[in-house]
Amino acid sequence: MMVVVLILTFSFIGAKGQMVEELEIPIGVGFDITKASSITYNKVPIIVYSFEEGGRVASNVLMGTGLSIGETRETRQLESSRKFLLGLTRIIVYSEESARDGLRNNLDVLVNNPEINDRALCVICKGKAEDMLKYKVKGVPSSADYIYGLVKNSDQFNFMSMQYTIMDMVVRVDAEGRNVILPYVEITENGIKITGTAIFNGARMVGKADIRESRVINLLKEDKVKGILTIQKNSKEYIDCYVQSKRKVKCERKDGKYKFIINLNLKGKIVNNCLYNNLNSDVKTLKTFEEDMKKTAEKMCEEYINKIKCEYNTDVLDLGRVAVARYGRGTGTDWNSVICNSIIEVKVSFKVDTEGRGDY
Amino acid sequence: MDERKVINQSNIDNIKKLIGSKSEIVVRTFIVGNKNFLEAAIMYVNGLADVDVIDRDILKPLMLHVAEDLTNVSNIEDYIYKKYVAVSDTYVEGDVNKAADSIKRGKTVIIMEGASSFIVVNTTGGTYRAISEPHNDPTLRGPKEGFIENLETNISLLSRKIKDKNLVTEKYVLGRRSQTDLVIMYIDDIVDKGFLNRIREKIETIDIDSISSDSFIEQCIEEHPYSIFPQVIASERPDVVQSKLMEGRIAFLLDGSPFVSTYPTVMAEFFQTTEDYYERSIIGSFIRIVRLLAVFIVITVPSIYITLIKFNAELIPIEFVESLIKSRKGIALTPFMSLLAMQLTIEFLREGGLRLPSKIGQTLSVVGGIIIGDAALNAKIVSSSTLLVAGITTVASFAISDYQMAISIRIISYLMLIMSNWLGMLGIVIGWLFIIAYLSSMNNFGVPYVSFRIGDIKDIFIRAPLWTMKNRPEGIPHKDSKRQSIFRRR
Amino acid sequence: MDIEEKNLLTPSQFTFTLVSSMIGTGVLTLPNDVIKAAKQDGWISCIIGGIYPIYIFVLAYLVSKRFPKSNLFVLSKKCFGKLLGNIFNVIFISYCILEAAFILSGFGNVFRIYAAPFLRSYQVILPILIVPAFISFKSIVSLGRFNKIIFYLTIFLVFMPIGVFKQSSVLNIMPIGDTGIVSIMKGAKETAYSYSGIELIFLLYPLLEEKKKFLKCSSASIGITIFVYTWVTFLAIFYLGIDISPKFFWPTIALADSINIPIINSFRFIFISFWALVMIKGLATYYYASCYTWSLLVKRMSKKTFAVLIYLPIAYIAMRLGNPTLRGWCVNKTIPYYVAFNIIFLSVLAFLCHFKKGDISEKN
Repeated sequence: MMVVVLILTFSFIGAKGQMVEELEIPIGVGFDITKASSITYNKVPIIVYSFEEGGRVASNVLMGTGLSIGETRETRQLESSRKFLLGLTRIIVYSEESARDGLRNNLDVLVNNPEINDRALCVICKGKAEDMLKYKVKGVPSSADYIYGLVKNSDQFNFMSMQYTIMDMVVRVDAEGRNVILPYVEITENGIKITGTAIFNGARMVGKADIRESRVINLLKEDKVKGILTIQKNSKEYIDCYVQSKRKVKCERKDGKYKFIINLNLKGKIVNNCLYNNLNSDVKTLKTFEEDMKKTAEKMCEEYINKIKCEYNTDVLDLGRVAVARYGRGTGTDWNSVICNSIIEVKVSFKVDTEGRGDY
Repeated sequence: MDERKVINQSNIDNIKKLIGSKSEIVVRTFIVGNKNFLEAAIMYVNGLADVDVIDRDILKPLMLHVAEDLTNVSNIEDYIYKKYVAVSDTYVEGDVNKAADSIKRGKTVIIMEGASSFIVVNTTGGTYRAISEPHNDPTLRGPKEGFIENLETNISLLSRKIKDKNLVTEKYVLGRRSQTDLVIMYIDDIVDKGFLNRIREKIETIDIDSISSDSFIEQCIEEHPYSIFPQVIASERPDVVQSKLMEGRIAFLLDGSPFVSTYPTVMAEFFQTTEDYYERSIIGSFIRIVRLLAVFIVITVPSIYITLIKFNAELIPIEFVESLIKSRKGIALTPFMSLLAMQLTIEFLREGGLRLPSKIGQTLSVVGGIIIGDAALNAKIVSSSTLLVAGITTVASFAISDYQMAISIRIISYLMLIMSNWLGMLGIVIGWLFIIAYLSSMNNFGVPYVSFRIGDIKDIFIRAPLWTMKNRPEGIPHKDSKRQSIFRRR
Repeated sequence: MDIEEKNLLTPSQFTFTLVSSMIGTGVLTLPNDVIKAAKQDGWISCIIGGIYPIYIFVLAYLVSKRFPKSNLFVLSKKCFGKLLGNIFNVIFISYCILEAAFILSGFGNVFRIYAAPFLRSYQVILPILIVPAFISFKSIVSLGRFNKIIFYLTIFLVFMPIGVFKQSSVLNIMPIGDTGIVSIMKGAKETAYSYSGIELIFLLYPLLEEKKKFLKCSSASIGITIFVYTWVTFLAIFYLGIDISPKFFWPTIALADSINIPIINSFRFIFISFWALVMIKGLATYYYASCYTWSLLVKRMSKKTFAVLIYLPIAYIAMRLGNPTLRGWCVNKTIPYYVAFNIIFLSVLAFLCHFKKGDISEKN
């Protein structure tokens, strides 16, 4: 018994911990790069909570600069009055420049540290991450919270999926036949907005798609996403439908050329209807509407597919994954170029789910 | 005649010596018989014997109604008690020591002239507490009888409930000076004989001065006297003891103690209450699960709180971090200190509430709790989250049904607190492992303290309906496994 | 019903002790090793690799038919003569001790990374080792019960990663069978380390209370182990994919992160604490095996003395093993020899036993 106590006492010596109130709680981490001659400087601004008197919570940005990411931690500690902790981050903001330069180092840091919150969201921002984090938003303690809310709730519309966490990124970057896309935010005169998606090839950003294109990309790439599809004849007559999609991809290979068929199964809720009369009462009208919607969706996809295929030189739509599953892994095929040369067909099927309360 | 008187007198003196000449013995001499009368005397201890019975059923018939000549009757004591002593429990005793013993227990001894042995009449009386509902273990729906201090009454309470012919009572006398009676009861064809022998051996090894309560016996024969966990459970309710006997246990009834302890005891029993069994199965199961959850909370929550705050802040849910930090700003003590201080204060309040007269006790607990808590908050000694954790722990510990077990678990939670303060999560893991390892290796008289048989789960974590409890639980050794059949075709 | 007197294991305790001797730290790194060799068919390799424990079990079964009461040491002395038999016994003992040290240091590494980065290695290793020492101090039944209780407590851990199904896809494991038999076989070889530990069956079966249940118990434990390993590898491939999984040192824990419970920031914490219980369980089994085997060899000293003595050497070795790379290197160097040795040794033993007379007082 005595021995036990002795051992425990011995182990106790030197055990240290730090109280939570004395820690620096980062809410968001940013990542910037400046290139001066041939040296690249990493700048890592971190936005932390600072607790004011009266219980208000405000935020503060601390910068760290260095040649390597580790060094930035050191310089940042020189500025900070508390101990550094990487763990409670909610959001990571990469500047476009650093994204285009390649995020591999960053990903390595994230994987290596077990304290990281794997469910933090990643976004790409226009300009400097520092500015994004310093921006003051009314009603929330910091812009990081605001961006977090932005991205988190983005999956309500625009066919965005919520799969932008660190874990998702890590899983997708190097997987054969998969690619990352991240939301792109910028500071406009009305505040911070998502203005599109950033397209990645591996760990590098290769392009930005605007909102219209992003919608199509998302629709074709992700499964179980929601958004609004419209058939519009003119500015007064249109019908809006809030659809939820189910996606299945089939892959065929003929003479070395790949053909991908993306089957989209859309189920919709009519949001407003100023185009069709008697939609509720007449089955034929309903069927016509469904046909029309189907054609509209297919047309919208086709409009962008050719652009998507080749402009970014990347397999944006995760089609390589299906091919790999069918035809074998590790064969050394460069899926990016293969996709560019392949035929992509979109087949949509659309069904009306509910029709709302009434038709005015 | 003088000779006879002398013989009688020497007997009387012998017995007096055995009992103790300075005690309250009453010796009443009288004459029996009409023509050639015999000298007789009765001896009893005032206060232990029921004087009404003596007067009515011994003295009256012997003094007033003996109309024959008894001088020629051989074996006079036999004749007298069979014919004239109108008390049912009467016998002839040859050993003067045993006769003295029986006087100490409230019986009366009749010494006849010319007799070679004594007549012992059961006139036990004296005032005892009435049978009432036990304070510590009330139920809503069960019987409201409880054991009292009188051994015979207790035995009768049990015999009333179990009319099986195999119910056995064995008598022992313990204690050098107190010479207290101990009766063990068990059901002969259920109990395991090897186990029974072990218990018997253990009882016979007890050599103690005086025994005032059955917990003394427990402390004398338990196999792990330094362990934190209680190893024997006692109850004031006959219905509880009844069901325990049914499972193959042995009950110890001690004269002068209203608590009946049962051996062997397994850990699961400390979390079972009578109320569980009188309610319906789903409700009983729910409450049992809540109780087990309470145990877990008491042991682990303070430690986890300390670990999260002190070592692993990245694991605190983000939503709590803000409020946690706000409430902890400027607190003077470390979380460990403040949590410890709060727990200790609550212990003081609890102890105090027990001892004080009931009116003051209640006020003290409420007022003490609220005022001290509030003052501590304002003085920035503790933070509100710490107070919350301490409060939850205490409230959870009240849910543990057995008082001894509750204290044991509270002690364990302090130990875990210290471990987690030293080593963080590792401390908690080691603490739990140690508890499990310790429980695994604890045995009581050959019966494991914790055993996890599949069939027993019915009664440990949930309470399965009564009509499904077909077999006796295997944790207790027994001979006869089947106790009822499943008579509901469900 | 008085089990204590005989100091033997009940069937369920036996099963779980055997399980704990096999599932240790291997399961945390197993997916990586297997994926390296067999890519997305790694999970098939796990199933095939189960042949190794089954084979050892068959040997033990044959031997137990003839010699139900003799354990490994007695048998090896019988079959190979005193000197050679003792040498083999000593090798077996060193296996137990090394294995215990490996588990301990592996545990220390994992724990310090994920849960307690502020602790130094000796602060983790020394206190943890107390618990197995305590159990070994007591009897085999304590060990059996300990294993059983912890098994039931931690069984849900295996099923937790079901949350992963939502986010992963079947595409990750296809095409099935594409990698070819050879690589699957190579993958199966990698599982040998994880399945090793089954040799303890030779020590344990004399301690089993009801010999008739031997077949049932052992098959249960082997079945459970194979299932757990295959399941874990399958999930790792399913969720992480074969490209990402090797990036983590311990892919199984990365799986735990996939579980998204609203309040709890990181399920990892809970997973690691429960996992610690499992690892300590394995450690306790090996610690006990070491003490027990030593006491068999050196008749003069009792098991309890050894329980105290072995504490230091194991702790020391564990601390020297240090970081994962060094440890991995040591493991890779030593375990293949041990496995080969065990297979040959035990096969020859079973073969020889077949020809020897049975136990005296054995009705066979």
